[in-house]
Amino acid sequence: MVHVLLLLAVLLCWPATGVLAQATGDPIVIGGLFAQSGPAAVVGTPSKLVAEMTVAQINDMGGVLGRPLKLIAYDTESSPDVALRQARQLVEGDKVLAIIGPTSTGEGLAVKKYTEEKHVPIIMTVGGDAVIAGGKFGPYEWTFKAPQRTATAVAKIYDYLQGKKITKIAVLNSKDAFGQDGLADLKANAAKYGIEIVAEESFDNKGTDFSAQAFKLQAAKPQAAVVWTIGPAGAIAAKNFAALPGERPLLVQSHGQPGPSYLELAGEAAGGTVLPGTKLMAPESLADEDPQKIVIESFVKAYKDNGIQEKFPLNTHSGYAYDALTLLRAGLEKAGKADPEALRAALEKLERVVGVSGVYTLSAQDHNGLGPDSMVMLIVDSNRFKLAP
Amino acid sequence: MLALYLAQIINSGLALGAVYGIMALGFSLIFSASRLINFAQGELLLLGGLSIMTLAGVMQLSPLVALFAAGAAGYLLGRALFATTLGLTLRASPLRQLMLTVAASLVFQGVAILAWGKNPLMPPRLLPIPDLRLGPLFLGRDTATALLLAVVSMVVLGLFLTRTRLGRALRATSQNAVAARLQGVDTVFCHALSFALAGALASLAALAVGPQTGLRYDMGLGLGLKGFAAATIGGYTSLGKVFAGGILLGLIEAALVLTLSGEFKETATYTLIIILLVIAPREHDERP
Amino acid sequence: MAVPRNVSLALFFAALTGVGLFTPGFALLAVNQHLFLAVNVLALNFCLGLGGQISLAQAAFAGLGAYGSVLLHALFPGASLLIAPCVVLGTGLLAAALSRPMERLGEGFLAMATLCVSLVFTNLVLTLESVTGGSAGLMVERPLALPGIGALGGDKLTFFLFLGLLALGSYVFLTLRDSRLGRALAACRDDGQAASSLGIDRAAVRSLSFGLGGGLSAAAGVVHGHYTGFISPEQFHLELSLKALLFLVIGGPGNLLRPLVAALVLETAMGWLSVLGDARTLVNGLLLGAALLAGYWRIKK
Repeated sequence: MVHVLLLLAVLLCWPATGVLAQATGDPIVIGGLFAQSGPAAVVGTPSKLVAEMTVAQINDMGGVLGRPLKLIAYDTESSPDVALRQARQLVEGDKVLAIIGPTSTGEGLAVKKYTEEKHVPIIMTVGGDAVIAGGKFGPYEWTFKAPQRTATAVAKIYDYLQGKKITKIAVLNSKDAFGQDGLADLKANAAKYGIEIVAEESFDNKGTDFSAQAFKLQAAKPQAAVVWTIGPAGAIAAKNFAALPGERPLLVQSHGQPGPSYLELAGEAAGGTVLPGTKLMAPESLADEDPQKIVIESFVKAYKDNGIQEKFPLNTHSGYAYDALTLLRAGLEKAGKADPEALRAALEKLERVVGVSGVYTLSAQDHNGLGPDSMVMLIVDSNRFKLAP
Repeated sequence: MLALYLAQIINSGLALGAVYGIMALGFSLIFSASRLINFAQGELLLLGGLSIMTLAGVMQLSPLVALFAAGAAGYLLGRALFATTLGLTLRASPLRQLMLTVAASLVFQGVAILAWGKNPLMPPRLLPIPDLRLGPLFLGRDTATALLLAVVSMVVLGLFLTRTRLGRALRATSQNAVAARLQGVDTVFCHALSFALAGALASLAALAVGPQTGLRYDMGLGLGLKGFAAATIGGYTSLGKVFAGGILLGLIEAALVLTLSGEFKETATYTLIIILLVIAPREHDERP
Repeated sequence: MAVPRNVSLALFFAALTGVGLFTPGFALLAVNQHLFLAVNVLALNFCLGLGGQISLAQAAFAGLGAYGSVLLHALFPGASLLIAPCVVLGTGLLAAALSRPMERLGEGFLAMATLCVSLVFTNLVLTLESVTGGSAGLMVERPLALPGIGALGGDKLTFFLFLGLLALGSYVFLTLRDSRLGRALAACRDDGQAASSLGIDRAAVRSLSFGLGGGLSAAAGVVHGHYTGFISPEQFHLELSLKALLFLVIGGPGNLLRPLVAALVLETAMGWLSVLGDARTLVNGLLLGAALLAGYWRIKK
């Protein structure tokens, strides 16, 4: 199975040669929800470009089930209300089979309630776990998510800290859904790894300086400080920690940070930061027998060839739209027909699907399918990401 | 330990306050001359910073040239903002003028997206100012730059406003536009000048704020809000008081984080501003 | 443009009803979202159009309505008949109480103070995470329900709820504008000192207009929250206040219909702009600027 998928992945990422059979028949229509304006546009815009690139690759390869894919994508404006509006347009107006996206967790929750009721499979590219957490966030029968769970990143970090004999940490999180998620998971899992959270602080991620928070955390004498946020705020926090006098804790960032932006914005202050990331961020470290190696290499090549690299240098979010489509494609092939219920059932049973962010194995309970082994701990060394020793 | 905490309140307060204060100066320049709150103030900083960054990419900028280029770019941006908002609607209601600056802020953001993309960009540090450390007191180089720029521009602006004919005309316009016009002052030019000066100030601020936070298309509103709050605390009219308002706001925020927590900082700050406005002496009364 | 007021009003509501009856469900969602904004524009018109007071707190009042109703419905499911009026009344009273000390502030300072109200609301929702769900938001489990009729949900019903709010608000607005109280408000708006010397209790009459505006926004929030099925702070952010103010100013404060039409037409147009991709923000700004200038030149003539 792995080999077949490997082969497919290789072929998929090569430009069309014309030898392959062109997909014929009615296209399978899928919807895309991407935040192309508003604060989440930095993630949503490249996601849309990657999705379009991936759909073109799949179609060049002969499509899915012998039929081409057709992607209809809308801008969610980073707003839950607009995301819901566009999701309904996709389902009731464009009659799509399944949906990829949206980008932010708030959008995801607003859309999810509707897609669950309407029985539309949706593979989200949101960071937050709430969409597939169940409980007060409702059932998630039809909802899947491609990026790693927050809990997975937390487990990876705690595992690393445990190995370094670190027991006391401080947490600095942003006051948004991503930061809130991180804090909750860090708190819930600390005891399991023998780790104590000695101080916690939060900040507004539009702020310009968090040195007061950093100082307060340092005063509690933690061995490591974990910062949980997306975007430039992470780099500002790194600079504020670096400017503190005295003994500084080890700086740990979340899986939302790996990417050239962090290095550029934080400069020297980024040095020594430890952070979990997908293997996409350290392609040269992959062993030859790693099934992801070839997928990642061809993804990176296609990303450059399609000119996305120039506008949005490769970062940790780049691969999620590709993975969502890879899951969708694998699900459709397993289902054998373009039918929502069959697709949903097949998605739940997918095993060892090789994507850019990891090797996915899903189940009825786990609608993400990635474990801590899909991530690596990175360290910033002379302004580059390397595998953390 | 207490001394360390106090020192940190000052360090963080100045780091925040320097940015707020320099934004507030721009607000108050336009407000006092034209009775207009400029919602595009943050975007002036954004576009000014991005232009200088692009310029620095194609040629070597010495600190002096960088200062001059930033001032010039900001001056032009401010003039452009005036020409497309207040300059077109001199007789409109103040609210319509205010909303035009909101529309202008969207246009500026749109230009930033099309010309520089959506990724945050890091402008180079063009002014060679080092970190300053005096015992427990610490000023990062960006903070030091912002403070220095603010103080120098306040002195220069102060001299300009009190010692030159044009400066006096500007002040006359802000105190009583009708009387100024009767005395032969070109009040429209004075309005335009206040926009241009505010633009220059914002671009200069970008030299300090840009390397601290990076420049991204959606940063304007957040900066603008805090600048607006600082200008309100300072009372809009005197440059010194307005800048002090920014520093005060920064110190309050830092103190709140260190004594309470970052969780309550924003709530407490904004509640405090409401209370300040409501209990402030009657001098605010009947002001536009 | 010499259409009598009643005729244009009737035409406006007839056209809207037509839209509601003949638009398919999923397209009606967009109309409903625009109507939510339009009700907020009308609410702001009470403060600004009648009383001459700027307010950037409209988003906070709408948010209070939504959060209040959703949280109370979780505790007392099915008690919509009691909860909705209580939440609307409570928010209205709060708005009125808030406006009293702010009455004497000049325009710029009042804008800042009401803006702070919006920001305090957002930050409180973020901080009180155990109750409000913080920035992750809340799933809305219970619909609005009436005994005998059942759940009030769905696109069509919600459309008519919003339409009803708009009609009720318009009726109150017009009645108030032409009443003795309305003339007192107009006096406060046009010349505060003259109003005071005429013996008008400015703080009292203006708190009435502020309270009515707050209540109407809260009512819109109640309907919107239950309709969307999910509420989060980003839906009731400062941006909503700014948008309401923007459309009111485009249409002219004090006019009843123009701001509403401006909100509905321009919001729909801005929704279509998504085909422009990256140029969207720029064109949005140009469109709004053009609308503001067009309104100005029309008045100047």
